[in-house]
Amino acid sequence: MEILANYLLHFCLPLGVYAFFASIQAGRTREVTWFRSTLYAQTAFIIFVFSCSALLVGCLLVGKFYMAYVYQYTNSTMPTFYKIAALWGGQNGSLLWWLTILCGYMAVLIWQNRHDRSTLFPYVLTTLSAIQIFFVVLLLFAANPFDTIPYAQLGGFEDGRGLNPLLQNYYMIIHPPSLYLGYVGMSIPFAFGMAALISGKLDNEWVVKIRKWTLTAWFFLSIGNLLGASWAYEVLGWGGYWAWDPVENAAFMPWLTASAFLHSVIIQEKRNMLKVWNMILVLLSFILTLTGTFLTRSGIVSSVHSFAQSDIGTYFLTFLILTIVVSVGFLIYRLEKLESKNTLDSMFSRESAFLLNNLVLVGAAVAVLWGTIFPVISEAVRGVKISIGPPYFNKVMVPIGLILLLLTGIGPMIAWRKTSIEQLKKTFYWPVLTAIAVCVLTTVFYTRHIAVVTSFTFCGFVLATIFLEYKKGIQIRMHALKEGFSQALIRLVRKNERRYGGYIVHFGIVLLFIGFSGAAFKVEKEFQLRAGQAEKLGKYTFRFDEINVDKTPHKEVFTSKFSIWKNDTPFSYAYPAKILYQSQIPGEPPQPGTEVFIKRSMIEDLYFALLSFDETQQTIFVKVVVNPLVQYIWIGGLFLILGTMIVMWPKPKSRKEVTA
Amino acid sequence: MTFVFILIVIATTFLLASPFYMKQTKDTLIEQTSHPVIELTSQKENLLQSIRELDFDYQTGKVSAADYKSLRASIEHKTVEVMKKLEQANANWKEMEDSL
Repeated sequence: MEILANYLLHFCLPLGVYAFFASIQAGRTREVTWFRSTLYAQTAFIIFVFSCSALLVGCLLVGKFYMAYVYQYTNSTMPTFYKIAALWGGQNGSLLWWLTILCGYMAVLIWQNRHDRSTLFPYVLTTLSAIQIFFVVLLLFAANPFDTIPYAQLGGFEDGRGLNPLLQNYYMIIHPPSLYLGYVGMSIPFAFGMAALISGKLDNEWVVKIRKWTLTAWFFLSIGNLLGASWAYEVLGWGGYWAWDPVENAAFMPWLTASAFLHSVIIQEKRNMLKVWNMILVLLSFILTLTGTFLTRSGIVSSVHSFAQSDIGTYFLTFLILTIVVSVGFLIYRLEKLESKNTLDSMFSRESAFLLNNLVLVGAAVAVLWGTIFPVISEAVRGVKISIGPPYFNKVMVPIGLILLLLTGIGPMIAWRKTSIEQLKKTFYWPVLTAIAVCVLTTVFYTRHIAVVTSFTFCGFVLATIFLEYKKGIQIRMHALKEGFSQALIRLVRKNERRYGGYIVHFGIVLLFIGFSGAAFKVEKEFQLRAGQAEKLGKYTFRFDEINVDKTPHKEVFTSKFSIWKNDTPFSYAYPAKILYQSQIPGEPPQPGTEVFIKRSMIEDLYFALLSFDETQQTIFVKVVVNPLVQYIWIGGLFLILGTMIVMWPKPKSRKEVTA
Repeated sequence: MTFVFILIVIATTFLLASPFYMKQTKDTLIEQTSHPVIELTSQKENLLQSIRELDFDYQTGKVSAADYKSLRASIEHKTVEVMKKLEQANANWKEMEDSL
């Protein structure tokens, strides 16, 4: 099967090149024959890539260990779903997975636009073909997952090394696919943006078409980032959920620019403004996904998450530079056509608030990018690799985040076009009063930590604005249409999913910020303990009771038991464990894994990670962390997902009603 | 396996070439928004939507009565202008169709 897959992958190269030139020809000549031929080429390409992925999964399941990829990432003892997940567990497979998702998106795109005869669409396919060609080249010449191990037939490859134990977790099955769906999803808006620039069709058609695509990509990026945070928290055993690691930053940067676009595109749709800015955001979001992948996959920045690095940096850098040059070139070429005839009516308008929110979001993306590439730049300029790490990010991103949080509340409360100062005073009366109350209560009863007080104050402000927006909308419906409360609420949301779904997303953001604020009070300590020995951390006392060792041919599990007292009252037990996964390759050392124990509550999490067990000394090293308010992050994430789903909910075409 | 692959290549090549030798249609791709009627209709819809949003902002107390009056008058004026242009464009289009 790997031979057929290899053949098909090779055939995809001329097919992609054909689709690229045929689509240009279709756009240039406007002949439907060329367009149809492009669609057929793309259909064949998509089928072949799907087949390649299916065949690779087949190889992983059957256990063809003479193939380098199968040998490296599976072994005979791995459960079936991890064998399937190994498709994206390593470098070469993840690149094929990337291409497969792109093809999946393209299949949907082509199906949706099968009757589209506009001159824009061929150039969309041109851009996507270029991306496909790049990935096929990468797979064929730098990272072929179907490569076999030379001389493997001589023996010694009866079993594989197996997937990294850190990846043998259910998150592995859902986190990378959602992140990739987000990353790759940015290709479609980029393709439409490029098509608009190439064809010169710079009206709002392309913007309307990409709104849902961008939202889809943003949705999956959000889920991917949240699952990544949850994975880090539950599996990596370091006690946190976000470390400003380059891999995390790579996924965060396009999320920020896509968030900016989702706000500013509303202004283009409503006021026909910010055309250049929106185009820049679309191009930038895709370029940032490439930059992030280049930074983390090339190995030029080190990351604890880089499970898949190899020598593909040169390819990515070349493609990245080419993408920047071509997209910026076309942008400059079409700049005059993109200029807007409309201007802002007032500085006190929702347009201005959105613009400010955009500047802060893009500023945040630039700050993250700078922090990520700084070690590379410092090494290139001064010859010393300086890692700036979380202190830099926390210092820069906390104020930026707080400004964004505040704007989350301000934007929706201001009218489109123009608001007077008097009106602003009236509109913001209750939210400001709520914010002051929260500020006082936090300072008196909880903390005087300036960032936390500010965060809670702004959270109170935003919550009040969301409440008021819903309240006013419901009241208008109840009064004007004589609807009951629940009917008015449901219809309010259904009549304007974008606005009221967006507020639910904002509510999720508020909960996320409450969760982030808890990090200011995080307490952590590592202890060396013998059985029966007790220690104290904050209001918790814990005693190491015993350790049980469970040995199987594939792994050794060391499960410790702790008794916990809270304020000297019996509270709970904890069972953190350390696992040593035996390699199936003779002579290879076992790979360690951690099974953390988390006692969750809405106030704080009590977190135990067993770091090591010294059998000779009969002592353990354990990390204990008290993590306040972490649960709000996961609940906030759920609201963010719920709100986005409401916004994405299909709207009947006939509906024209915009407001409540 | 090689034979299967050769068959796939031949079948794909025929598929790609099929639109050229079948020549079922002489249709061309079209510039969907090049026509002024489409452009003006879109402008009109945007302006009507702006009026609805302004009304809602006024009802929810985000716009003062004075601002509401002046903004609504301004958007209404623009809408009337666009509708006049649209009427003219429609008439021109009908005239052209009749002459054809």
